[in-house]
Amino acid sequence: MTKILAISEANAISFHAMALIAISEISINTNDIAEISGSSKHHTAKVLQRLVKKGLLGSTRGPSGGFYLKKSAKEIFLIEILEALEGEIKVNDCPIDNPICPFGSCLMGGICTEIGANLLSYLKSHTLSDLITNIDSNQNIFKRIIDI
Amino acid sequence: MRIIGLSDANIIGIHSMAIIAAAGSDGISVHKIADLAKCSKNHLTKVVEILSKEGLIHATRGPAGGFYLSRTAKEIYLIDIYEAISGKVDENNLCYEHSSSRIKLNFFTSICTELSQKYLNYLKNTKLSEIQGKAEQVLRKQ
Repeated sequence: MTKILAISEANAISFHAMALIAISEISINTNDIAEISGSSKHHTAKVLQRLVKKGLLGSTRGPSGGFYLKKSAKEIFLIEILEALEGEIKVNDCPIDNPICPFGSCLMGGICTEIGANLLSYLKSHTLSDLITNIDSNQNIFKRIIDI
Repeated sequence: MRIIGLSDANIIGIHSMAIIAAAGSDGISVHKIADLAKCSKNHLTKVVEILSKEGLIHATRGPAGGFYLSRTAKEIYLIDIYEAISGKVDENNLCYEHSSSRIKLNFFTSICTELSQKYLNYLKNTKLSEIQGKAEQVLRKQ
């Protein structure tokens, strides 16, 4: 079975990691994030490193160290999380990235541009705070960490 | 970059099919399709192989050979092209879901699902014959 819209594994990890860090009341590290989000530790570490480098996260060292948000969740727009990994996002008019459409106007009626623009607008107008709104913090996400 | 959306293979597949439909009984070579759609010939060759294997198009060999539709353009929906390339769409789970995650980003999933549904409706309701017109105009200019 296939998904119509697919986002990369790295982007999925970054959104999940940012959400986890935002809702966590305790210090949370790479191992915790990888385990809770069901991602590879190595890949998660690389994504987190990037988010730190781009100034969205800070980190503390030591046994009780971990990651924290550099700004409040209300101040981090979702587009910033995506652009931290991908660079500046622009919606291309041509789905096959031609600077000039060889068909004069889009063969697919501009549906790709329309959907890309819709998503971009959503990412630019919503924050990490919106992303974590519906997460039930009592759903035992942190059970293993708290037990330890 | 494309933030989210159909893969390159799907986009190339849909464009190629429109050009093959426009070429009609004359048939058209991979080289000419790549030239018209301004896309990579190597990638296009792979996509065309899949479309052929899945029975949407067939080829004739030789210097005057080329690709032809196996059914009329009115009988082919864009979803047929999409599924020939990417496999059956999971309509109950349209958007990327990090399935092994204990944290569910419902807010994000809902917008992705909404946009995916829009794409899916377009693919399911659009026939190849509806988009081949622009390809015909380009072919006539050649």
